[in-house]
Amino acid sequence: MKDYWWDFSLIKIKELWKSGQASWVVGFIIYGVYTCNRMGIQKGMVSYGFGILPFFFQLLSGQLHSIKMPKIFYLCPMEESTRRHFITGRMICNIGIPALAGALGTLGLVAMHIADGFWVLLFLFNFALSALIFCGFNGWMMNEKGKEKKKGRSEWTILKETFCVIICMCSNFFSVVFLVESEGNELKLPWLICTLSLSLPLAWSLRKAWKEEWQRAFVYED
Amino acid sequence: MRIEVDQLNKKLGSFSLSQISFTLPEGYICGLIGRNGAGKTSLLHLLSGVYKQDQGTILIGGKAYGEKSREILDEIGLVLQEPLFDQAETLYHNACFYGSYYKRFDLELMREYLNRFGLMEKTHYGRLSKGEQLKFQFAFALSHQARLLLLDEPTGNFDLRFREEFLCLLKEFISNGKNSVILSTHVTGDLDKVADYILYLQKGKLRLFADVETLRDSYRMIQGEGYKIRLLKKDRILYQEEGVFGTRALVTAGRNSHFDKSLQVWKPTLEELMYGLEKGK
Repeated sequence: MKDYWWDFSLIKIKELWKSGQASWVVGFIIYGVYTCNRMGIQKGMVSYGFGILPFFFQLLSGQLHSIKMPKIFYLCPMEESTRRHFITGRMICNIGIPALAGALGTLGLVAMHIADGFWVLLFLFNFALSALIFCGFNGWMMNEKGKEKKKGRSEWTILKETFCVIICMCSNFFSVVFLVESEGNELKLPWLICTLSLSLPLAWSLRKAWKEEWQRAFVYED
Repeated sequence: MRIEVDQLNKKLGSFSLSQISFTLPEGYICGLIGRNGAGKTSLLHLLSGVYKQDQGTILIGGKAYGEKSREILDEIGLVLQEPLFDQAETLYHNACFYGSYYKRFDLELMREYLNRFGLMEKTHYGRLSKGEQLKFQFAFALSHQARLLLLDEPTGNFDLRFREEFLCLLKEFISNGKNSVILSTHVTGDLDKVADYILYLQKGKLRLFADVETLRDSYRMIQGEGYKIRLLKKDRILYQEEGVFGTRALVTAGRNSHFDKSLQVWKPTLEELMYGLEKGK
């Protein structure tokens, strides 16, 4: 846990911004302005804060945190079971904390009477999948570490992961507006089908790559 | 700690280490040299267990990686170019946490070395400069009383004063006759001072492995008039170059080698030897 929070250092964030790897922040700002404009400042900010900002946290976390332990961790005479225990804990933090941010955001929408049960499930699904993909693994393409080509992690795999996260984010981005603008239920079902029919098959096709990534985290490989 | 490598092969992308075989007896320092990209770091990674060989055997103290990995890793101290430790933690925390996995780790010894190397235990590892990180790695390796040190080009990052101290510590390290060191470096002057053996890699292949004295006895540098050098048998001349003050050449030397009295003859330094071998290919 301590490692997780220490990596949120201002120095690292500044480095990301300078290297252009945090330019996606601009998109969040633009969308925030749009949301407030459409929904009114108060409601817009609340919906945006709970429904979108957890993605901001996930994107930042995904770029700052790695599953891999320092090299000495793999080179010191540690029991294999101990090593696995540490890696598993790190994985849980890297995925669990961003996913929890998403869950809290969703609960916030419920607490503000903005989202009902349907939207809650969709939001939770989107945040969980995004946390799993974006925060859970080493080779994320936008991360400096992700630029290294890993054995078995083809560019096609990275592309599928990118699409998956974009779909989840777009789904929430549009859902935040639908929450207010769709008085009736007519948009819920088509929107749900649209989101799941894209993200579920992609997520399913990535399970082998994720399993390999998980296994690779237990041994040191350059 | 004795190291035995036999017919080692490892493919790494478009590069491969092939047919590497050597035996380093215990109690000696082996200098590992070669151009950039020759495979020095890859060989060190194989010896430290980071990579698994495709073919061949590696025995460290008579043991092979696999079932005996933990025992071997307990004996090895590493100084590698990349940051080895947890950047989020202090030197003290890193030392205590990872040191706890080594049987002979001594925290007080660690503190002595940190003090000697000018490092503060409360500093975060990630905030150290490159040279300081390498010093910490070295301090840690000495503190857990490793029997084999694998050092990947550390001296280039040390200041002049510390480099001398570093070389003294290496000599102290092997003085018990049991410990061994493999030191990869481009600074051949350092190897002249401390190395007992030289392992020279060229494009992933072992060009030569020999003890320093035999190596230097096997070659001579000669300088003088070009026509006199050209009188020597061609197969003896490994490399020659014309200079302002005459021709200089690296030649093989046998027991009964004789050279013209007007030629300057001397035993080559390691730098001259490696330069000549590299140029002569």
